[in-house]
Amino acid sequence: MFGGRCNRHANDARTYMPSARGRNRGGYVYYHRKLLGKVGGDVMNVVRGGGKQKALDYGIWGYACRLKTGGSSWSVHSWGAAIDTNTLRNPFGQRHWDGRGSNGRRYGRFLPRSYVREDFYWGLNFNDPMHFQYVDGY
Amino acid sequence: MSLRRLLLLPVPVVVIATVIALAPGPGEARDAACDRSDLRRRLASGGDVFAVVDRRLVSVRDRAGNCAAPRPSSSTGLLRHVASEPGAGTAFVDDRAGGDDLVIFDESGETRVPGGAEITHPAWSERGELVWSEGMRRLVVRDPDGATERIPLPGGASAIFSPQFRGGSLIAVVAARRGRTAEDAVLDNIWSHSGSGWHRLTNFDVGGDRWSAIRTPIVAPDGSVLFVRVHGRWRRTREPAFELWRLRGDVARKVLELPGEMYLAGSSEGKLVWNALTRRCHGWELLIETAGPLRSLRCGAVQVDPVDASDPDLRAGTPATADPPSDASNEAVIIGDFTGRPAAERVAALVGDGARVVSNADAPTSVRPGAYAVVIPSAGAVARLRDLRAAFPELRRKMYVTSLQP
Repeated sequence: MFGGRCNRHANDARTYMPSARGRNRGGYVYYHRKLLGKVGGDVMNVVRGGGKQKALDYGIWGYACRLKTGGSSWSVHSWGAAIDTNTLRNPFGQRHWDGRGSNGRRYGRFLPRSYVREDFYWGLNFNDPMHFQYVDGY
Repeated sequence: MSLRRLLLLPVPVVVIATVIALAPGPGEARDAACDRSDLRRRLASGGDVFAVVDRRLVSVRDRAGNCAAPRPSSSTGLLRHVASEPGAGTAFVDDRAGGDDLVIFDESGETRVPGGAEITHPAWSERGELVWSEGMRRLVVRDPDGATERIPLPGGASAIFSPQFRGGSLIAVVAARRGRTAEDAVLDNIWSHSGSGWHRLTNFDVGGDRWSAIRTPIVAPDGSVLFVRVHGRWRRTREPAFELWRLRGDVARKVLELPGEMYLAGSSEGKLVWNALTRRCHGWELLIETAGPLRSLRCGAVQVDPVDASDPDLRAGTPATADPPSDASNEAVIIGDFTGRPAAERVAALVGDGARVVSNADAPTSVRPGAYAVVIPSAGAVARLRDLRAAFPELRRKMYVTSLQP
């Protein structure tokens, strides 16, 4: 569905998100064009509609063409089929979700619910709480 | 230097898994089941060669039948990362949900070493010592009597993997603690561990969106280390580079550029054996260098990860196969950014066809504050993007699809 890894369509879609590049420093998040309706549409609709832009926190990433550490498997980000959000508070290996936003307020699982509702699989299931992917074969 | 040229060079290498004899290639002989007692003997001798295919151990040695061994009775997970050493034994990872097991077949029989974490990349010494990575956080060294020693990763590192014995010391690939996540490769170097501790042997570095990974190092009899380096730029939609390198002392030199994704699997009689993804195998294939093109040994994986099964620590399931629905009413092609409105207006006039200039105030999820862009609303934004990129190649790098939010 997403084509080969690192293909030229894997970063065709972009969305501007607050705090993507740093706390209160917004930036573009790039991802596969087939997820435009999910990420740029539905998820951001929920975030903005609820006035919860501050739930997004440092940093947010989409497409990245890279091997996974130590192996011959490729990151799902290589297909532009995953989003890492609120990475500073939710690093790889952490076994819980820290729902504090860029303003320090607790948003609970608002963001995870927004992605899971759109059929993203949550990386918390394998101790990667920042990670939401639109494939589950991984 | 071409790959064919390299293949003609005598490359004596101590192996990850010594490929001793050549079996027919895929499709040339049917796999034959091994009897279990014979399997155990062959695993324990270490003189046979095993790889993993279809969740089974397979041998590439058996000239008669290209023997496929049933999975060991005690294995319940996903088999991967096989290492064998003549006279020492065979070891492989039984990858399970939670902690993995290292399964060792040697002269004392079958031993299952629970890891309590993800186990990867076992490797033997000629003396029958084993080393592997546990949780990517430490190396475990097991002497032939079964005593183990744990060696933590160097300071400032985020992961350690692919260890090998080199003389009286160890080498391993060490991932630097750098970047946004420990899951993705950023910067690897080869380090050596001896009584004085860790010291770095290679000196690769990266900046910006560049990354550099080291995979499947193997140690040659002369002490040099052959390894595959993979590097690229993570923002780019371009295939990363795959290269064969050799490390002598602390000087690493590129031997050749590889034609695609391939990793070292060992050697046979001075010839390198490779693992490459091929359509013929629908996964990993073992290939050996010859005077001509690489020759197929059979399908199978030695020190690479399976592509036909999910890691048991992750949810087993099916990749999404249906396109997600799109909200065409909000989709648009966006061209930008431009630092000033006049520049954006010129592009809008050039493109025409309903193009208009927007700022963050107009399209807060499509344009950053302080910038301007041109949007062309389109119910078929993806197709429109393709057409616009063809029509205006000079603007290609500024074109994306976006969802316009009020």
